[in-house]
Amino acid sequence: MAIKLVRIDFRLIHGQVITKWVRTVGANLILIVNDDLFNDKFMFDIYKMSAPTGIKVDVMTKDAFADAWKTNQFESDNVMILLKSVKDAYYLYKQDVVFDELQIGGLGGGPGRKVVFGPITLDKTDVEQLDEISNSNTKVYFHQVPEDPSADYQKIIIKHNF
Amino acid sequence: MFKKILIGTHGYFGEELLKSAEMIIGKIENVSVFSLAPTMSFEEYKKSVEDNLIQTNKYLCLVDLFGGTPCSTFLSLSRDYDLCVLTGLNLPLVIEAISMLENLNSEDLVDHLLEVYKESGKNATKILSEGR
Repeated sequence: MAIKLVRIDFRLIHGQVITKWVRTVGANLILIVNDDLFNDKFMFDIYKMSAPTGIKVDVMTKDAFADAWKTNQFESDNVMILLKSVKDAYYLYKQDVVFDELQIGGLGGGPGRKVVFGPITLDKTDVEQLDEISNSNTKVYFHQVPEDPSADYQKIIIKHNF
Repeated sequence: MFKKILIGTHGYFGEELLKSAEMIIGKIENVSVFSLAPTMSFEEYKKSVEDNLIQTNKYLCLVDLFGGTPCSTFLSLSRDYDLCVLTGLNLPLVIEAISMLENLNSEDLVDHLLEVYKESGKNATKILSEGR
């Protein structure tokens, strides 16, 4: 499966993704895995037109993605997968979708959320779920934009008390 | 006619741009700026904009980056509100939009602004060397 990048980003397709990541990883398909967006054609059309020219955009529900993953349906494309939350990544993990790498690129502020790396925040539940994911065979790391440094999940978590 | 201009940008570019415009054309009214802070979610940003919208008004929205969060947010609000979203925000555009807001109907203003865009990018060095 030619998965170039799996990124958790609460803004889904936006400035950092369209100007930097798509080109950096050489993706020709941005696949958004999000149940709400799957049911909101108007919003999906907005994200779809936001992508750079020549880049395909598709949306799938979490369950449909887990099925597609098991039957290896992404071979012909270089795919960049976007997830909106840690919760969604964890749901997939529980469906036996184990990515080689999981990039945490953007998670915003809110009650109970702590800034851990750049403007990226986590809460207690995120940490519990990411701990489990990173203890499997997935390399979890923080990385906002390609030019900025990335950081290993475990190293960052040690610095913060959750 | 557009009732108001809404500016949406990554960070505080829009607020500073408005100050720059005021240096040139003086005190500005009828413009609201919505700055997207790094930790703000799409939903939070959308709410900050929507709290200032009235359904009966027509708005001209100027945003910085095609496909960026301010752009997507205003487009998403166009489902429920009368908005026209233009991307590629710059100083000449803001000045012209404000100056002509009450002089042109919405369609003509948008056409006019698209011309302003094209005219605002010039190779000034080349023009000087060609003696114009």
